[in-house]
Amino acid sequence: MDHSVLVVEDDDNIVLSLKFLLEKSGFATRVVGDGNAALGEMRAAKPDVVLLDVMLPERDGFSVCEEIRGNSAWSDVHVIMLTAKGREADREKGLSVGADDFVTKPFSTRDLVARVKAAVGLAVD
Amino acid sequence: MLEGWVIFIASVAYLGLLFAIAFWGDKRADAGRSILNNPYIYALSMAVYCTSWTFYGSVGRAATSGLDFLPIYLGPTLVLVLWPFVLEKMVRISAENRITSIADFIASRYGKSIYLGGLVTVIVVVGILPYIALQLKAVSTSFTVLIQYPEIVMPRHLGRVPLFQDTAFFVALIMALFAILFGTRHIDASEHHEGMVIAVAFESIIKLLAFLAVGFYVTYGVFDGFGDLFAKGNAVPEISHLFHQVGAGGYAQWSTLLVLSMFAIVCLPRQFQVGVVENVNPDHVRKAAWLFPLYLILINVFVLPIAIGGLLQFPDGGVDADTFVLTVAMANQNEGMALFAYIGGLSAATGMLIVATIALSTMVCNDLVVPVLLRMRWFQTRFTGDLSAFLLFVRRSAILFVLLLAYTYMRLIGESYALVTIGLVSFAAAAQFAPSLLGGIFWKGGTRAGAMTGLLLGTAMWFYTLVLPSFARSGWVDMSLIELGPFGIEYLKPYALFGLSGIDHLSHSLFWSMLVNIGGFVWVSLLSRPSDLEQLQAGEFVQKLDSPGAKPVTVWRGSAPVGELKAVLRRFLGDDRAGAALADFAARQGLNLDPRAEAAPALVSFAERQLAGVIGAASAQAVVASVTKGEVVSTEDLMRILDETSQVIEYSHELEEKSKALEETTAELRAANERLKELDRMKDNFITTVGHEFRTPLTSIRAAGEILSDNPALRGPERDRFYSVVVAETQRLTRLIDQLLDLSKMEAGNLKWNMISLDLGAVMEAAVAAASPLAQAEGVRLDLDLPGGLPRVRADRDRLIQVLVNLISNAVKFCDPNDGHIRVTAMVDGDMVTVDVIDNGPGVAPGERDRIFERFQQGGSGETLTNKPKGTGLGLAICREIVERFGGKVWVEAPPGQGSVFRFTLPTSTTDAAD
Amino acid sequence: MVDGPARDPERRRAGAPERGASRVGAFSVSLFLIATLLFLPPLVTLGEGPADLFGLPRIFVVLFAVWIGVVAMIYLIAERVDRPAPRDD
Repeated sequence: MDHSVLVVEDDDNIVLSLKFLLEKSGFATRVVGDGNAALGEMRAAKPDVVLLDVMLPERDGFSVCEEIRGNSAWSDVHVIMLTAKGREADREKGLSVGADDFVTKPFSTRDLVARVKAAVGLAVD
Repeated sequence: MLEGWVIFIASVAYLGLLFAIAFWGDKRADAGRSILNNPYIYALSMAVYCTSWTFYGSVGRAATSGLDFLPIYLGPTLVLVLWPFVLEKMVRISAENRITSIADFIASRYGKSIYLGGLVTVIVVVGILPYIALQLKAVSTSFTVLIQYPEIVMPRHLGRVPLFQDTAFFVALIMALFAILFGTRHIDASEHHEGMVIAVAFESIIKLLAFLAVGFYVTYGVFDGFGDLFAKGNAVPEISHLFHQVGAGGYAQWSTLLVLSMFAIVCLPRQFQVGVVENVNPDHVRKAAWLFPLYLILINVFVLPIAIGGLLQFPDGGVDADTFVLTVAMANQNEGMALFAYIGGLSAATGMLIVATIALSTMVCNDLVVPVLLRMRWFQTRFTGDLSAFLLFVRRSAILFVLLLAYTYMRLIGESYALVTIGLVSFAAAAQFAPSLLGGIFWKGGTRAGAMTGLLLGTAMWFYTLVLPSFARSGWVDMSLIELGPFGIEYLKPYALFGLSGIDHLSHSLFWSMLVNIGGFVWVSLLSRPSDLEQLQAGEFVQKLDSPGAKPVTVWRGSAPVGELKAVLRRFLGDDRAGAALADFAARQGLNLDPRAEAAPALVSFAERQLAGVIGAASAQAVVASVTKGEVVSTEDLMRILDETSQVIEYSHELEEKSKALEETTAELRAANERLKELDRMKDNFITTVGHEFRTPLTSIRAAGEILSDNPALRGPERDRFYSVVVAETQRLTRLIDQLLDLSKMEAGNLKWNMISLDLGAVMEAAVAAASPLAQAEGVRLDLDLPGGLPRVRADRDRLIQVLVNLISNAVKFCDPNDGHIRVTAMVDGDMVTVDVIDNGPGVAPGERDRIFERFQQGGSGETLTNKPKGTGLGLAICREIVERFGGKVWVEAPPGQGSVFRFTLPTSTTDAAD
Repeated sequence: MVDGPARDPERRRAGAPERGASRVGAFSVSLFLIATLLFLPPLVTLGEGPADLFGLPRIFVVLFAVWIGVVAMIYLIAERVDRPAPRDD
């Protein structure tokens, strides 16, 4: 259990699937429902990967990502953004605020797991 | 040095130069680089006022009656003081009406009267012809005197010069050639004679320089300055009286000369020609108003010194004072100066000859010949083709005729008394036009009959009191006429009419002629009734001052086929010009030129104006009338024209308002466009949001489905959880689609509404019953609190239930999670009934209370939507749509700490019975 | 007396065309009346007599001086009072 993932997502049913998939792949998985909680959780324990939904209550995923990138202590944290809008503009914005990867909903579960694994340098099966 | 051939060569060279200048001026004008648009040239051309009568005659007059020569030049100065009222006004009127001469002007003002134009022309010919003769005489005299050098002999001692040795004859012929070449280039006499005007301006410079040179020479060369000259003159009693008083010929004469010259500066045909017809820009009048009087001052400064010098030079009286300008230099053996003086006098004479001849020939052609020809049947039948060449022929013949007639006159009358005084007699003749002319532009009441009467009476009186007695004094009529009166009737003595005596003949004549002229003009004008056309023209001329540049109203009401109108224009203007003018006008006005079409009134007026420039206003009107059917203008039409003018003003007001309205519309359109863009943005957002709304449940479904298929080993409650996710999210999608369709149908108005009178209580009970399983599932208490006596409402039952269920399920989501409680109640409020759905949740922030009724705007989120409440984000939007459709309103109230109150109103049904 | 307003360029420029025209008109008529009176007896005869002015006959000097004065006034009225902006020729 070397690698940990922080899931930031407010839809319970999506969280259910994500948690199942990641834990099955051997990640220590934590889940939070909004951006501020996510930052608090990161301060408590730095994850290797953050799966960050764009549409969040209170503050959106872009500003959370920006804040993560603004903190040098978290420079090695991989941020993968999840969006339901799937527009090119969102993708560009995500990359511009420092996201490492970008996944559009609905996603392929295998693809998502592969990307998380790739982010932490694990072999993709 | 001053041999005959030298003088001859100098004369020919000077006249050649004049031709060259005129030729150059016309060439430049043809090339479109006219130098006429220049106030200085305009002012100089007005100096044609100073003829050889000024050049030689002023000195002669000064030598006999001192400063009496001056009023002739003070009068024009006074008139030019009034330039905005007189000259500029006449210029503007003439430009607009394409006036070609003073006869045309007067005829045009009084209803385009052919007879008036003819009368003026006859008076001009009778009155001005001798004046032209005087110029020829001056040329002849100066040449004859100069050629005797070094002797100084007066021509009267030399006997008659044979015709072909008479300089005046050749000058007359050369001037005729000049006038024909440069005065009749265009058929349109209202067009400007560029070359002629420039040549005249040049001559004005030459005669001024020559006179100043002679003046300087006499004052500073022969004598030792002004002081010396006057001192020597003072010593001679016969001379000294000349320069210590005005009015050596009586104060009456001084005043008469002043008044006469005031009239002359506008009424003399040549002054009218250069000052009005040849003016190219009314603004030039402003500058000429002081430049021309300045010129007059300059040319008059040395008159008295030269006269005194001459009197001192020739004390025995053997030399005519009229020749002093030449003879003083000759007596002092200054040949160059004498030659220069001769050239100056020649230029003064030729300038007048040219302008007067052209002016006269235009009048003779347009106001005498053309009207007569147009009346002759044989002419009508014989000359059916192009008349423009014929008109030019008439005008050229008239030039030759006028000059040869003047020469004959000069030869016949010779040295008689009549010729010596002819300058002032001509002035007095021209003055007869003043009442009709000035009265015509300042007094609307002047009529044609009045003008005719005034002109006839005034001219007759002029002839009787001035011309006839001068004939007697020349010996052609018995002197008893003067001494005893006609048939011995003393009261009718020409120089003392009705016993008026004690004043000079000129003042006497002016008094009587002006009395009958003005009296007749005013009296008959007041008695006679002007025709409609006269009234119209009177308005045009008099009001010019008030509205400079105002367009003339269309007068023509009669209709003419375009083809006939065109044919008429062709006849007088020539093919090319007529075609070009019509095409140009039609293009500018957007008029139809189809030969069979009826010409628009504007086109008929245009054609008349074009013709007026060629044959004068009176004839033009007659010609156009011959092809138009119907009246020229009736009283009724006149009123309509006035109406139209006010309508035009009204239209322009309307137009102004319309343009304002247009601006408003533009602003509205701009706003609408902004709104449209806003809506477009909203639509984009909506689609994005809908996409998002679909993607979220799809994500859950796909993820759960993939997990289930990738993990066949999954068993028990875990597997069931993923299955239930698939089912729940599928339901969510279905609901979303249903609601979207509902909403879109409602907005498009495609939904069927079954509006009936309903028992509100029963409907609420049904809705609560439908929603209670949902509440029970979430562990929320749901109470219905129905007061008695609820009225019936008019609504669609299913939709009303949908609203209530939506509100209740919304309340369930936001209830206190631990001890949820929802109360549904209703109450009557006037003719409305209010329904409340009250929860005990966190309430809705004030800023969101309106927003949550928008599509996809759910509570509890700062941005767009969150997933916290499992809704579609469309429920409240649908509620609002339905309630508003029922005629009510829906909103949310959130008393602090008491949860939210979702409240909507419904109008009560007017029919009590259930249907 | 007449050239007072002419020295005020602001007013000249600001002057509406109609007002300008009426001002020019008023000045013109005044000048006409004054000059006519000056040139006619009896006023014009006041310069008569054998006396000299600047070594020249008095009436000669007076007539030309008044004449020049009148022309100068025309110049001022025509060119300096509410002259409309020159047009392109």
